[in-house]
Formats: sequence, C-alpha cells, structure tokens
Amino acid sequence: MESRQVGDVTVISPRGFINAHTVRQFEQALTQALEDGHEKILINGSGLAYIASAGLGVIMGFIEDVRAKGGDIRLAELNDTVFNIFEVLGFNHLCQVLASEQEGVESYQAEPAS
Amino acid sequence: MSSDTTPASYRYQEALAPLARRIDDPKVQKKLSEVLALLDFNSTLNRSLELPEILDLVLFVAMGETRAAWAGLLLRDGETKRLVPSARRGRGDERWASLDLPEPPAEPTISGVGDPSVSDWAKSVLTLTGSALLVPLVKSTRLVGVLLFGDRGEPYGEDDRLFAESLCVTAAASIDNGRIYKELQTLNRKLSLKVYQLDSLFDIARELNRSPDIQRVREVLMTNAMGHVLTTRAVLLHDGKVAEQRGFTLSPEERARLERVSRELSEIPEDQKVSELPEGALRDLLSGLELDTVVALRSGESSHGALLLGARAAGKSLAEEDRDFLRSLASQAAAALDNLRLTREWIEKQKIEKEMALAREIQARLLPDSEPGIEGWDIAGINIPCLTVGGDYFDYVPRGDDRHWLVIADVSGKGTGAALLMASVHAALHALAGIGDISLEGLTERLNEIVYSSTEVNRYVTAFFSTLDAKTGELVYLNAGHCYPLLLRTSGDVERLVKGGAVVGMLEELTVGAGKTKLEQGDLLVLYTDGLSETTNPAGEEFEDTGIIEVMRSCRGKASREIMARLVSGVRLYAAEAGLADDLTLMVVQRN
Repeated sequence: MESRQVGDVTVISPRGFINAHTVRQFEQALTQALEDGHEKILINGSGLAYIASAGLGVIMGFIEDVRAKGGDIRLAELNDTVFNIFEVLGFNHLCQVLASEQEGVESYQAEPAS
Repeated sequence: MSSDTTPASYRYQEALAPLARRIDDPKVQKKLSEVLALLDFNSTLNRSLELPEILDLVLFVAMGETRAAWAGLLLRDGETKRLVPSARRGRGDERWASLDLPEPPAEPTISGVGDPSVSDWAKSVLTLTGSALLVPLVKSTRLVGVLLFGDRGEPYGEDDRLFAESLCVTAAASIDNGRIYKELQTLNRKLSLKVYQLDSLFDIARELNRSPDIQRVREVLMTNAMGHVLTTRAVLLHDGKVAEQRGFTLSPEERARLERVSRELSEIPEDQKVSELPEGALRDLLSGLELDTVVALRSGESSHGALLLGARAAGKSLAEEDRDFLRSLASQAAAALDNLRLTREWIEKQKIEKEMALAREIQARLLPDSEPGIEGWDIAGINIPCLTVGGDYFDYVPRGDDRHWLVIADVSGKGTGAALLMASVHAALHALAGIGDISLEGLTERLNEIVYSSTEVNRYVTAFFSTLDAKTGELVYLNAGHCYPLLLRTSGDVERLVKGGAVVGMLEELTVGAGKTKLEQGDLLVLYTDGLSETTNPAGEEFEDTGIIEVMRSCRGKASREIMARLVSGVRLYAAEAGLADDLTLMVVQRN
C-alpha cells in the first residue's frame, strides 16, 4: 500500500486485493493520512485488482469525517471489475471516480471538496 | 451522412417528402404524412432498446399525427397482469399515477367514446382516465398494454383509428422487446450483486476461519455491513456494550441509552427496519441517532447483540438481497463469536481441571501411603477422593515411647484452597510433633492460631486428634467439631468419642478439653469424615452413624483392612445410582 503526496493531495495506491484480510492495511493508510492532517485523498486504483465489501465499508466509515473536515475521498484509474462493483452497488454516486490520477489531483483544484 | 450508412427507410422518406408537397388532395397528403410518420417511427425504434425512449416516441408520434391534447400508455404488469400507468405526454393529470384500473379482458378491442358498442371494461378505462380513444397493444395475441388518446376538438374517425392501430402493432413489439431488455438488465444487475455478495461472504468466511480475536470479528462485521449497505454510520452492540461505532460519535449519554436497550435489540428475530418498530422510546432513540436497520447477532439460541446501521447513502432503501446479505453476514459473525465463547469456556475448564489435578496431587502426597506398623495393633486408613477435590486428611505421627498420634480431619471447602489449607495443617502438625511433649490441647490451640490467622473466616478445619499408647491401649483424644468416632466394645455397646471443643480456625480463642478411653482386644474403633455418614441414598436419606455401626457389627473379628473395605462397599451400595458426592475418608483401629 503506497502512499505519497502530490501537492496537497494524498495519493494512496493499493495493490492486488482489498479483502477482509488485507483491509486493515488499507484502513491504516487512510487513518495515517488523516492523522497527518491530510484530508484530500485520492485512491489510485491502477494496481487494485479487486475490492471486497470490507474495503468499501472502510471508505464509508471515513467519508463523513473527511468531508466534515473539508476534504474528500476520490478514486481514479479503476479497472473494469472494480468499476463494475461500484456501479452495481451505486458507490459511484457517493464518491467521485476520475479517469486518471492527474484528473483526480486536478479535480481538487478545480472543485475543492465541500 | 453518406447514403451508405443511412438506413433505407430514411432514404425512402427523403424520396417521398418532395412528392408529398406536390399533392393537392389533403386526404392523400394526410395519409402520406402518416405513412412517413410510421416509417420514421419504425426506423427510430430499430435503433433504440431503452424502454423510456420507446415509450416517449410512441406518445409523440401518436400525438403528432392525431393532434390529441395528450397521450398515455398503460403497460401490463408481468406479475399482477394489471394495467399500470407508465408514461404520459401532453396535458397532465394529477390522478394519472395513482389510477387503479380494472383487470383487462383477454382480447380487448379498439374503443372510443361514443362508439355504439363498447365493453364495460373499455367504458370504465375511458372514464377513469378521461381519454377519448383506447387502442390495445398486442404482440402475438398477448396484451402488452393500452395506448390512450386524450380528447381533441373532433371525434376520432376511421382514418385515425387505422393509423393508431398500425402504430400499435409496431409499438407493441418494441415495447415488449424494451421490457425484456430492461428485465435482462435488472436481472444482470441483480446477478452481479449476488455474485459480489457471495464473493464477499466467501471472503468473510475465510477471514473468520483464521481464528480471529473478538475485535477482528467485530471489525469484519462492521466494515462489510457498511460497505454493502453503503452507509456512513454503524454501531455494534456486543454483550450489552457499545463495542464499535463508526462514521459518527455517540455521546456518553447516547451510549448509555443504547446499552440499556441492547437486550431488547438483540431479541429482534433477524433484521428489522427501525421505521417498522412499534412506536415508542426504542424507535425514537434509534431514529434520533439516524439508525435505520437493526440486525440481530444470533447463532442458534445464543444471542450476542445487534448491529445498527444508518440509512443507505445511495438513497435507495434496502432490497431483499441486501437484507439477505446482512443476515448471512450476521449469522457468520455470530457463529464466530460463538466459537470464541466456547474456546474461552474450554480454556477456563482446562484451567479448573489443572487446578483440580494439582489439588489432588497435594492431597495424595500428604496422606500416608502405608499402614503405621504399630506393634500389637491392626490399623488401616483410606481416602477416596471424589470428582471435586475436598480437604479430607488423616495421618499417623509417631511420638516416641510407644505413643502415636492418630488424626483425621476435614478442611472446609474444596479445590486448591482446601488442599493448600490441608497442606498447612499437615505441615504444622508435623512441626509441632517435633517440639517435644505437647498436649492435645496445646496442639489444637496452636493449630487454631495458625489456621485462624492465615485464612478467611469461612475456612476452618474439623479434626479428631488422639494419642494412642500402644502398650496400654490408652487413647487420649480431642474432638474439634468432627464427626464422632465410633467405638464398638466387645459387649456390643457403642461409645462415641465426643469430648473436645469447637472447630479449628473459626474462633480466635479456643477452649478445649481432652477425653480419655481405653481400647481392649476385640474393641473396634472407626474414625471417619462426613463423606461417609452424610452419603445419601436415592431417596435422599443419609447413611448416618447408624449405618456405619450396622456394618461394624456385621464384621467383628475381621482384619481392619477388610472392615474398611466393607464400610466402603456398604456406603457405595447405599448410595446406589446417586453415587458418592464427597471425599470419603476413614480409619479403622483394632488391638491384636
């Protein structure tokens, strides 16, 4: 789980599967970003093969808190499988999904989160 | 657009349009316009499979050619077979969406207001909807729906009806295809969701099978429920406490209020919408916290708590599939919590058994492992431990000059505590034996001080101390609250050795006084603990000392070991299926 800063946006890049077992690392990466005072979060899904419901649950658990602090959690570069899951569940209506990391980072400049 | 890619029907329209302008006869013009509209309609329908688009197109074409003030479509529901208002264009009507229409006949016919013969059904639909013309949409004898035309300045003539019917032939097929396509899409979506749910459940099962701790089970439960329901708030009540809260913070007051209702919540059968709870404090509390759904955490008979979830963020309410998923998730988590509970209990049991084994070992080590071997005497002793370890004790301590202490005692309580107290009594007894000529009164008082000061008030020892002079047969004894030893004389008389005082270790100061008797050849002395006298038969009656005396009388003249065996088998026979409930200890003393 790689995490880096692009300007004031924290880009988290999970690799492989986020499932009930690996979800803790994902949760830790998000917790760490928030503890460091970073609220603009972009999840780069280019290395993400699959996300089980536990992973979505973690995002759901953070999102209100993040938005209340003026930040957001956005996603970019999702593969078809992951995007399909988002669509089926309606998750794409809750979180912005961008085509590329660059677009994701720029989306924070163009349209600062709430 | 090049002519290669333009559909033939469009090119046909293009060719017809200039011709239409050249015709003077308005009737022919009208017909041509209708034909063009139908052509256009067909071409467009061929490109679209989305139902809302198809419906709009049908309505616009219908209104365009007939100049109706409005047009509407009633589609037949696949399950209920009833007609449902599905689309409407032109002048609106507030009642439209909530219209309740009669069930259609198998083969309805085109009907208009003022027609000479109109079926009751058609009349009723025309009246209810306020329409002027009704055209059935039939696809190969199956009724798909009804196209309604609103009023216009003039009645609908033969030509209008012919056009409407032509329109409906194509429309019926398209709408049907559109519906099938839509159903397939819905099914596909449901299927994808189901697959995802199964994947998740499998993922969860794998994680829960890694023998996680309680915290991990809680996390798995929370994150998966939130991820599936897409809610930003959730609370987990586990064993009466708020174990987890995510997405929001409960005030201490709210937390306490939730914990007070946790029992009530965990008794909800499976899952329950908060809005469907009976009106009252519980519903008010949950809806005040914006919690929408309660899922019970139950495995078989055992209840662990409840999962409370906020509203779905995507807006839609929970579908049956979502509730299925939540129920499966909850039962998996409950089963995992069950396993953890059982494991905890098992470890607890193992600990107790270990403790018991230790206590038993202490007891076994402290008891004499052979007869005292006093010349001229036949003495035998035994301790039969029960399932639970008690604090029975007996001992022979040589005192020099042919004198021996014969001791039997019963430490209150059971388990390690009793075994340890017994060990200290044993240690003190042997230590005191080393300090020369100590009287039984002195011995008892010193033991009392030791036990009193080193234990709780509820721990005490009943004991029978005695000093046997092997030469003379004189027995000095002190009975500290113990069961009376029985001395059966050759004459048949029974003496009970009662003199002494209170139990050891209960009172700070003890007043005791020894008794004295003499054992002759043929006399039989039996010391025992209450495990022997208080054993009950299946009717609940105690063996008592009368039972012991009976056995003693029956085996006079036998060796002490034999008499001991008879007493043990006698009391076992008496207890029958009730079994022995306590340790059983006894000592048999006879002069050769």
